[in-house]
Amino acid sequence: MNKEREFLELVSNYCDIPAENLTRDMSFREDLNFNSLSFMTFLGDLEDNFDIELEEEEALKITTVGEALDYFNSRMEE
Amino acid sequence: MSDKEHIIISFLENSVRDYPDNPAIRWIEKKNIPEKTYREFNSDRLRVSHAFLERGFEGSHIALLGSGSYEWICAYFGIVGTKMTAVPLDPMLPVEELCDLIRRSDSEVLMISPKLKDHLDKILAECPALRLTVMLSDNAAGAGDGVISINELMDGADDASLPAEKRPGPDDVCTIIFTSGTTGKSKGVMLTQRNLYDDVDNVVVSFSPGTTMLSVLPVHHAYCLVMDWMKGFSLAATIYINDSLLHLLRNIAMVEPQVLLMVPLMIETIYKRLKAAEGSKPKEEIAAEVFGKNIKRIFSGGAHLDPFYINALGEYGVQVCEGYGMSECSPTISTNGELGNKPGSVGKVLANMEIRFVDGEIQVKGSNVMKGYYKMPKETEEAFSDGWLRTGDLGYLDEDGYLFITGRLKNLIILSNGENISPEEIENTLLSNELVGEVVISGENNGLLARIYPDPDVMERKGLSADDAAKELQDIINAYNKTQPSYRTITALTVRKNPFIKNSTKKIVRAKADID
Repeated sequence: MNKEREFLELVSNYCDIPAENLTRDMSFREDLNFNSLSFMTFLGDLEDNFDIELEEEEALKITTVGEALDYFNSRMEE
Repeated sequence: MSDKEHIIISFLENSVRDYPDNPAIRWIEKKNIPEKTYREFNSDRLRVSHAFLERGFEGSHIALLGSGSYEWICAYFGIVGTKMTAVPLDPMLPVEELCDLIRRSDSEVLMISPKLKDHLDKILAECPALRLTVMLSDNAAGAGDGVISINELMDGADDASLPAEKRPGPDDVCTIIFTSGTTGKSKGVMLTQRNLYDDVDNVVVSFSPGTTMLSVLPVHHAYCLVMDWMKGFSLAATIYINDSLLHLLRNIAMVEPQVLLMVPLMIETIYKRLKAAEGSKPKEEIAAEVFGKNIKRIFSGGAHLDPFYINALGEYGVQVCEGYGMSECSPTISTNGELGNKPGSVGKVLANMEIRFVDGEIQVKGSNVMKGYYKMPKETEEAFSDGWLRTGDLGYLDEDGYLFITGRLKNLIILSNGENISPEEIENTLLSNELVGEVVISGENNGLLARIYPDPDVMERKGLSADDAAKELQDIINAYNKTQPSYRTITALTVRKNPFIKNSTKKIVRAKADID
C-alpha cells in the first residue's frame, strides 16, 4: 500500500467513508464530521503511523483532505 | 476553630514537608521526560515569589499567557504564594482581545509563552501599564528590548520560605479568571485564596501520595487549574503535563495515569477508539492499551456528559464521575465520586455549599463562591440574588441528594469541549458588517450555527441577488473564522429569507430562531 493510500485509510477510520470515496476538496469539519479533537488525534495518529513530526500550528490551518495530503507529503519528504 | 490558613500554597507546603523527594511535575519534551520533585518545585516557585517582591510587585496583577508548561505552573504558584494576583489568559484568543483583557485586569506584568512572541509588539504598544515582560522559557533571545526570561527573573533570587507578612491572606484575590459574559463582554471572576482553598478542600478524593495524573485540559480554565494542579498538589500526586492534544492518546497510553480530568469531547473521542478495537480482544485488554493499566477514575466536567458514555466506559472497567461547576464557584458546585456516583446526575453538592431553587434556577452560596467580577459592579450585582449566586442553570435535587441539570436560563452555549460561548459576543462582531441585518448564533452538532437575515436595503443598494448575498455572507464568516480560536469558529451558515420572530420589546425570540 502506498503512503497516500495509507493516509486515506487513516482518514477513513475516523469518518466511516471508504478511502476510495474521499476526495481532495472534502472538508474535515463539514463533509467528514471531524470535530476539533478528533482532528487533533488524527494528526497524532499520522505522526505515530508514519514516524513524522507535525507542526501543530501549521497543521491546524488545514481544512480539506487535499490540504492535509499536501502537508503530509511535505513532511514525509523532510 | 480550624487552624487552616485557607490559602492555596499551604496545600503545596504540606506535600513538600511530607514528601519532599516525590516527583511533583513531569513534562514531555519529545523523547525526554524531565521532572521536578516537590522540594525542587517549591524552591523554584519561591524564587519567583522573591524575585517579584524584590522588584516591587507586591499586590500587583500578573497576566499569564500560554499553554500548560513547567514554567507556567512555577510562575502561577510563585505569584499566588505571595500577595499577588494571577490572571491566566486563553492563549488561543485573538491578540486584540488579549490586549483588552490585560488592560481591563490592570496587569502590570506579562508572563508569556515563547510560542506567542509574535503578539508581543502589539501587546506592548497597546498595554502601557505593563512594567515587565517575562518569557516563560529559559531564554528570551530575540523577544525584544527589556523582555527577560523566567530564568533571568529567578537568577540570584532567594528560595527561603516567605515571612508571615509576605504570605497572602485568605481574603486576598488569588486569581482573576475571565469567563464569557452573556452581554458579550467577558468578565473577570475574582477568586480569593479562601474560595479556591475551600473548593479543593471540599472535593472528597482520597488518592494516595504519588498518584499519577496527566493534565490534559487548558490550564487557564478553573477546572484544570484547581482540580488538576491545586488538588493534585494537595494529594502529593505526580502530575504530568500533556504537551499537545495531538499526542493526547499517545501520552495517556505512555503515562498510564491513575486519574484523568476530562471534558465530554475527550471521553467521546476515547470511547470511539475503544469501540473501534472491539471484537479483537477482551474489553479490559483494550482499555489497558488505551488508558494504561492503572486508570482508576475519570472526572468529567465543563459540559454535560451523556450518561451513555458513563455506562459504556464502565463496561471497560473505567469509572467516569461527572461534576458540575462554573468559574464563579472556583469552580466546583457538585460532583460524583467517592460519596457516590449516579450517572445522569452531576453528583452531590459540596459540603461547604448551600443550594436553593428559585423558579427552577439553581442558586448557591458558600465559601467557594467568588468575590465578584473585577471592576464590574453592575454585573456582580446581577449575578447574585439576596446573596445567592444565580447559576443560570435549571435543575433539581433527587431524593438521594444528587443534583440534576435540566436546562439553561442564560444564552451561553456550552460545547462538549467545555468552552462557554457567548452568542451575543459573536453576533455583535458579525453585526458590524452592514450586510448582516439580523443574526442568531446557536450551538448545533457541537459546533456553531449562524442564522443570518441579510439587510434587504444593503442588498438593493449593492444590487445583490439572494445567491450573491449568501456568497458574501459566507465570505464574512470565513474572514471572521480566521481571527478566532477554533472553538469559536462558525461551522455552519443558514441564510434566512425573513426577519426573525420578535417579542413585544422587539427582541429576537431565540427559541423560535429556526422558524423562517
